Amino acid sequence: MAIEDLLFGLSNLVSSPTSILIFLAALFGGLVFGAIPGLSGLTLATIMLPFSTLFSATDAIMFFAVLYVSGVYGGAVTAILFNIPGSAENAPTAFDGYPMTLKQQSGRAIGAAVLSSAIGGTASAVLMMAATVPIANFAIRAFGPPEVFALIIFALCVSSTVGAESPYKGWLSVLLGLLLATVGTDPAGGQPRLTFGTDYLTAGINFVPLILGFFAVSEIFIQGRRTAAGLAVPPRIGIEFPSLAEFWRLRIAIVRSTLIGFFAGIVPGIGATLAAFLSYNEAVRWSRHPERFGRGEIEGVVAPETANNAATGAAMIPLLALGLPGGALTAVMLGAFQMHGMEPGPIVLMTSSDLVWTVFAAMLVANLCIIGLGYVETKSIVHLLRVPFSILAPAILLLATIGSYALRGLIVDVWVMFAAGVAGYFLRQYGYSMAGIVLGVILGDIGEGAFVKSMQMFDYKATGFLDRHIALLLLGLGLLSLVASIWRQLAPKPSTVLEGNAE
Amino acid sequence: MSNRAEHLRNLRIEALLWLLLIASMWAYTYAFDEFIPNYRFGAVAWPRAILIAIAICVAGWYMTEAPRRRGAAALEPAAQCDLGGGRLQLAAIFLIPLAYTWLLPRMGFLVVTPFFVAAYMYAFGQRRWRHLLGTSLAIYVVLVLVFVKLLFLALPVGVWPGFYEINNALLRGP
Repeated sequence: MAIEDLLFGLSNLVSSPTSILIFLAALFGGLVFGAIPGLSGLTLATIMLPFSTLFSATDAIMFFAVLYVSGVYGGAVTAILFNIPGSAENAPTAFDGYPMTLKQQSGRAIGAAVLSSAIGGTASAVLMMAATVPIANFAIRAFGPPEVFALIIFALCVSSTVGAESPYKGWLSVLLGLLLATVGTDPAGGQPRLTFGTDYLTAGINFVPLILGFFAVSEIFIQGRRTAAGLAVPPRIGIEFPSLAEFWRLRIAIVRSTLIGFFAGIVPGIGATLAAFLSYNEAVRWSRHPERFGRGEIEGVVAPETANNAATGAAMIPLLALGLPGGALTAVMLGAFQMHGMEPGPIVLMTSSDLVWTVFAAMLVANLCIIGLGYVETKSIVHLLRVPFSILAPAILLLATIGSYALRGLIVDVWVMFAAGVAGYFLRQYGYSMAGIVLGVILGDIGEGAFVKSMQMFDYKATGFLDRHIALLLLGLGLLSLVASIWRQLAPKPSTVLEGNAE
Repeated sequence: MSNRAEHLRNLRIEALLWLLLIASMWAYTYAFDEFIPNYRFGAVAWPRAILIAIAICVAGWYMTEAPRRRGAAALEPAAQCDLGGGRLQLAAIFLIPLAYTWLLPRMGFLVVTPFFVAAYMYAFGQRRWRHLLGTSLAIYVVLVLVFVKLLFLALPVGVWPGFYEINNALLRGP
């Protein structure tokens, strides 16, 4: 990376009032949309895609890149305040963020999310600028279908127990998600399966209504039950911002999460969601007090938020260097490139370096802006908690309904959302992990596709994995994690008093 | 029934539900068990592998949990929120959104939404009429302004006689 290139990009960004306006619109749009359950930065991106032809190519790509950065952070707010993640990559944030809200530490949690998102995103943007070409070449050559499959198995093994009452319930949650992901058509022959004769299910079950149902709708039903039982207690507001000393104490977790997020973000198709789950799990594993997680431990907010923002810069690497989108929003960016008559890849890096460096500069500035905006947000948005739940409930449900319906204009998506909400209500009562189910749904398709291609490559001999060292390492680590969980389960425990598991 | 027996009964019911799911899904896989020329394992391999993994998990969970529940030194009753007179309220909280979803494509978003908001606020215990009506209207107006007018999101306009025309009239405005 040349400093001159970065300064050139920055000067490009600030020299045009139009560019500044577009930058600010993307920054605020992502923050707001990311915070609305079901709508996310991706929703705004798809809405704006046709309008992006009105912008210059540089401004258009810059818009989506900044939207990506701010949208990923925005989803943390509702995850912390209401246990409703704005997107899948914010799900692990809710595990400890929401308990912190219940302990009147909402400001501290949002402040932690702000700073860690900014740190992860900024570090990722710097790494992105320094390492785009060499890392892209390595990742794309080293990561074929066997490695993608192995990475997914590894991720599912280590993340499956997060948020569940027991490892078995965690595995069952993930497996249920994997089963839901098989609905639709198989990746090898396009054979309809588990469609029950309906055209709707031939396209598979989209994860957006599922996330909305399992998190938002089920949470409303649970709060409704507490209200009906006279047990509902509104959380009290805490506007204290986390101290720098507190962050210094978490420096190792931040560095680890940044690296996890960055390398997970490079692998096409997996990105921020996997980064967030892996990072949370590693934070639990390496903590001296793992029992504190799930009960309002600040590291449980810092780890996933650092990682999911660190993945944003990394996701740009396969897109810009090789034309491979790292996730859904970068796929929209690919569309924006094509609408401007450009094909991202090595040619763009050589012929349009001004565009590339303006985008890099914009992402760096956006991450830094999150600190300032987030501080203001910490002091202001937590007051949403003052709003009685009798008002929040219909508002959240309406937003979720609109979010589900807006996906494809089909009312069945709304029905799927409510079915997931009812199922989530009961599953949560019995200790299953909603995040595990969602993780299984998201990674199931990719995992099966990678497995099919791997088997075709290896001529159906599973021993082919032995020749792929990275895949073998990942599978081994996943198996080790599984065995360790089983061992912990089987180890004799003292007799305990069994408590009811109803919420 | 003793607490221990109740816990064991709940465990067995839960395990049984999982087994029912596995059995029914496995039976359904035969409906798409067809040969795929370029993939030897076919469309059923992956779902069946998942079902086998679920069965193993359920078995492992039952075998570790059942002795633990039998052998626990003391068992507290399974905690339940005592709903008392709130059963009707809880039923409303569940059923109102379902009714809204059913009516949405038939009556249209612009017609049915304000009634849903008011009804749901009432179900959650809001009894002050001015608050109820005022807040319902405010939420409705904000949502329509943002999603319909600003973002041009296509929301249901209704299919029942008359409602399509009413929704379009509201969309066009004065």
